[in-house]
Amino acid sequence: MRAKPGLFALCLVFALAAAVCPLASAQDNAAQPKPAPQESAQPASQPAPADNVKDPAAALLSKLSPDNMRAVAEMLDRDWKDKPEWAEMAVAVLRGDEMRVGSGWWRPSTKRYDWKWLRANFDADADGTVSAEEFVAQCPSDLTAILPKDKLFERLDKDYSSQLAPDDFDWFSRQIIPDPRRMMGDYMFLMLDADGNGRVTPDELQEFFKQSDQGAQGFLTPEDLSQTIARAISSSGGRGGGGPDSADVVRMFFGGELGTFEAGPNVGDLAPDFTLPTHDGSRTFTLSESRGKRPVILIFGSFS
Amino acid sequence: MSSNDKAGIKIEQPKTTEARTLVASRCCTSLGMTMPLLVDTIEDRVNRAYSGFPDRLYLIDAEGKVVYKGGRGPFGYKPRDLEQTLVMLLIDEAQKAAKTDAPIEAPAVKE
Repeated sequence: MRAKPGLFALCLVFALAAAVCPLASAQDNAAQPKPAPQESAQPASQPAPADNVKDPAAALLSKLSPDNMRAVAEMLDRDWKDKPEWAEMAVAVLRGDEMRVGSGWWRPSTKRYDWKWLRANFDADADGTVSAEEFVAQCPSDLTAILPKDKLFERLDKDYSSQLAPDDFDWFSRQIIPDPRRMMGDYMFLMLDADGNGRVTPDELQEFFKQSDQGAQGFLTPEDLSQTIARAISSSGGRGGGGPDSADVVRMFFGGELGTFEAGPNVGDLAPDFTLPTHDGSRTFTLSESRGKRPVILIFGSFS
Repeated sequence: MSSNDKAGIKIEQPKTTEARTLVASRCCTSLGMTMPLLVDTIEDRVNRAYSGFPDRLYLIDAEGKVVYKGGRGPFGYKPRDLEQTLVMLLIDEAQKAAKTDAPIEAPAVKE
């Protein structure tokens, strides 16, 4: 008899604390794909270039004008078939593509289960949607130990429409207009969360009120709020203004600041095993020890 | 980064495991984390194996196979996308377990 499905997913967070690791300083560099030759042809007797000698590819390419960067990108794209993921990103960076999903190595998620799977299993009346009633009727009762069936349905119902449809499973299409309520809520939260810890406290609400009540009248007017919002936008650099120029982005990419050059395992692959300690040193965790027991979620993050 | 400035976060690049562990502890405290927090080697061995930087999500099933591979962060980081996949994985496993546990019907015997 096989093991019952795990009742709880074990959640792990990896502190890759400030994990930006320049290629030239990595200890196990042998396995690292190299975007360009790393060895300098410069004779030892001559002075080394003053800037960024550890990363000659970035130093050279960042000297090109934006037009010439685009020309190099087009040549690479045309001449290098079957490019690895990092080379796709190099082309996008040099071409000055907008940073978003669909550009370079920023791709949508891949997964074993999607809308097609759900529809095949739950759309009893074959109308192209899954209602809450259809879901609850066919959801295995075993899972009520984790969450009631209606709550599980809510976790799937992205737009809270009480009906599951293809859009509920589309997190990457640009055609989907963001919910304005959600956008407004997110923006308000950013303004209120003064310490940026992801939680708004009564003190922070009070401070927001105090900061917004410029005339110390004891109440807020629409003008007060407009000015607070304008100040917040101004202090954030206008969200879009003052970003890095193309040479900066090239240096950041080759320096590893935009992401890891490796591609990682794909859906269906055996997850690479590892053993790591917890931050407090109280224990270690070995991924393979969870096999046969329960699913595992890995959350990679950095704190920098 | 303005969001880091807002949170008062200015951290030097750790060069040793000990320094990284200290940063991880600060992260844990600042964010009030309750999940186990693991610290990668200073060579970023696990990060490289999973292409985890700057952030990324994976879901691995009980057999050790990758079920969900999130897009690279920050643009591909979608926790609710993963949550949907987790719900469907648990449903699928429960359905399979129910089939396995069901009594096997005796084959019909011809008279």
